[in-house]
Amino acid sequence: MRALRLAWSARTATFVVHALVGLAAVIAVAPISAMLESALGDHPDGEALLLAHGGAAWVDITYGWGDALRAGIVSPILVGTVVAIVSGPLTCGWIATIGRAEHGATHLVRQCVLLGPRAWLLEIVALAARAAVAAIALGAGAGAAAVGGALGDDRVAGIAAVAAFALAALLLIPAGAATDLARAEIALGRGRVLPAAWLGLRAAVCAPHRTTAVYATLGSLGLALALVSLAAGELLAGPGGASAVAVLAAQQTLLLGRTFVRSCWLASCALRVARPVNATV
Amino acid sequence: MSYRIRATLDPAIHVVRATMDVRWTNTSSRPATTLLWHLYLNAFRDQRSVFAREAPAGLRGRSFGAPGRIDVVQLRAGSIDLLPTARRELVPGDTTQLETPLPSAVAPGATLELSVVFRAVLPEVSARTGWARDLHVVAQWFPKLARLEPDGTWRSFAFHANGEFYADFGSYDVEITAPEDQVVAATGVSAGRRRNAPGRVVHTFRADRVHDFAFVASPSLRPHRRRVGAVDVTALAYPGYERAADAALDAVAFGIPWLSRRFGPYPYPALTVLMPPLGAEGAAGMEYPTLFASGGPWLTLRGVHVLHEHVALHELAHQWFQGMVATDESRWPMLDEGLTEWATARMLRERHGARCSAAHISSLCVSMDTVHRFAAVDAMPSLAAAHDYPPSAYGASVYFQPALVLETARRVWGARLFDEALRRYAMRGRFSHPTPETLFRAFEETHGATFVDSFLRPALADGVGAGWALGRTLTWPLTTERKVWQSEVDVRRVGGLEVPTVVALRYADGRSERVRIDPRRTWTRLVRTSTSALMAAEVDPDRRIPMDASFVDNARSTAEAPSRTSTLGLRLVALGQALLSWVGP
Repeated sequence: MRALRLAWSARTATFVVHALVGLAAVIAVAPISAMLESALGDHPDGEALLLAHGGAAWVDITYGWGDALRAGIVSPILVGTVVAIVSGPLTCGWIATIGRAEHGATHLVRQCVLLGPRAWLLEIVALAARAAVAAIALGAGAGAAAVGGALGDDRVAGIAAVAAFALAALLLIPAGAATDLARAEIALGRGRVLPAAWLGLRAAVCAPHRTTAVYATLGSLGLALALVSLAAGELLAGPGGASAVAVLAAQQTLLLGRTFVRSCWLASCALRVARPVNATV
Repeated sequence: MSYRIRATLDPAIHVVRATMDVRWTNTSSRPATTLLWHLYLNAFRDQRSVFAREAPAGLRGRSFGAPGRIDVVQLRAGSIDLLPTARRELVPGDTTQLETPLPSAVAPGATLELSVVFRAVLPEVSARTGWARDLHVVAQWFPKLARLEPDGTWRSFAFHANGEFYADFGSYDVEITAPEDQVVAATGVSAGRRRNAPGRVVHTFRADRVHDFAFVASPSLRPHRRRVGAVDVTALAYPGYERAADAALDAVAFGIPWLSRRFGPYPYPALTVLMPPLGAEGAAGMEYPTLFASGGPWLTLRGVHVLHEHVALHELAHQWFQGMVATDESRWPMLDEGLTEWATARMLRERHGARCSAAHISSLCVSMDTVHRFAAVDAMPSLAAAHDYPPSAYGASVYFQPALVLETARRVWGARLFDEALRRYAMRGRFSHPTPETLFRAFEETHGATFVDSFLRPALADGVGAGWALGRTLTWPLTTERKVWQSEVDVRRVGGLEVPTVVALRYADGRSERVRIDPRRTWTRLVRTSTSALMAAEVDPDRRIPMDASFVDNARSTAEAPSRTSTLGLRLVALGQALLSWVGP
């Protein structure tokens, strides 16, 4: 409940983060939206043509609008890369804003700038840790496939590989939780990078079940809200459906809910930093 | 023509040793002074073969592995050894053909007895034939006589990257000796198996009226049997591939009666379907008489018809268009691949509906029209020789564009006429060697000469396209009360083919009309006066011309049409936000 109250009191910062991600999304999809509008705008079926006649329109779009389509694909990749780069400082600033009494957007920006270098260093460490986890996952999958393949049954080999890969990939959950805890260490004062990373990892490992459960639950809830927002757009956009404003409002409400769930988790990380290392989250 | 082969497979070293007796009759009108043989396994001998030069990086993404070859140890006509005078490189660097001059000419109608001793070293499978894991797919493995045309000229060609079949029909009596743990299946029907030495079994197969013989062997293959009418169908699959084998059998159970109804009955008592396992993909998707290798992973995805089902139906259709209607695949590959692909797509349409014929996942559908139109984008004219195509254009030109052309013909000029034309072609070409002219003649009889000369021949032989597009689409009131409206729609023919079509006009009061367009005109302006505004116009509204390069330009709204709520952009933003949240803060 304390985390919830803390997150609520920092709602302005949360809204700003949400708006920034929304703005990035608009920039990311603008080229492909424009291309589709240009390709399908005059057609009486409009965007419904994309799903009509067994996907026939995709042939036109792929070959007739190739350059625009390529730009439409490259844009989200570029924007995603930029967002990933600023993600570390922004999250640290967000945690600092949540964990302290100053909640304005200006404070958020100032914290991001102040914490930027250390946050980026932490991101490099976290990225290396995630790469190591991914290598473990791939290695486990390949090993299991080899063991299964020795039995002469490709199905057993395939299932074993996927199962081993999935189990190893589960390690990404505590890795994500540990990164957030380390970001909290950086954001709230004890902020040298390697000790923060170590403390974050230690905190996640000391209470693995609880950390994993909380992180996975909040993550799943956030994913569910994101998916529901997409479904809401689909439903509202049907024949005789609501206006674009209604669709946008429904989606943004749900996605804002997802961002708030994330801020609750970050608030709990901020609270955790103030406690002894072996306490639970 | 008959072959009697006694072969021994040594799976440990991937070698087949064999003796072969050939009884050959000169069916041409001239005396034969030479014989031409195909030694196609030599395509895998080294990088100098025509095959390796045409596909230096391998076929279908599979690079070459261990090499293979065929060594002819002895070749005699009676007591005369033909090898000392043989020419081994008819194409410099390539040894996939062998020319053996005869000591005396063989008169028309006369028969020659030949005896051959050979050794086939199988390659690691990269394309069609060879070994992978403990599987041996033994194809193109024996010295086979090329075809002597009626005018007395040999039709022989090196083993190319694409297109390998053209031979006389004949009978085969083949004994294959293999270790007893090997499951062996082959062209024709099994005529029994017997033990001839400790741990070794002799499998006997006989086949009549076939133009090739192949066999497969592996200790891991498990048979899955099904009776389809009078045909015993056996799918051979590795453990784990049970569902894939069932999917192939389901396709075959649908396909045999479907194809038999249209193109004449399947005449053989047995059919074998091999499901190549992981690592043997190079052997997948290949047809041999009464035996074919299907394809696809062990994992069958419900609703994705273009994997196992498409491959199984395609290779099954080859039993007709190539197995029985034995066209020259090297000279006119379209005649078997194009017709086969058309038949495959039609079977998928009838099984799953046109819209979802390629895939149906939840509410998303992909049609075979879409698959073919994607794949045919780089198509060239379809009636060229196989080796004249650049690798990137072969499938588009020979498989997919002809399938679109034929499907257009069927939808525009009617299914009944079209089916009758193909039936005539298939029945006329059955157990013979028809040419493109045989096909055109069948269509001329059913559709008339104009259809062939103005559509089918230019579409297939010259690669001429077809399609329609809408240009300016306007509507405006003629009176201030807006009770009388004038509308204009420009219809443009795209491509040179004159394909009849209609334009559908939809008005604000719910009324609609269809207007026939004269296909001889490249540009038509429709002018209509009506009591309500024109909302939209669409040319070819029933999608009868799948070979149309663009469907998006087939329809247009007028300015009077109510604006639609476009939420696609919003949904993309929401999706973007959700995804960015995973990489972002």
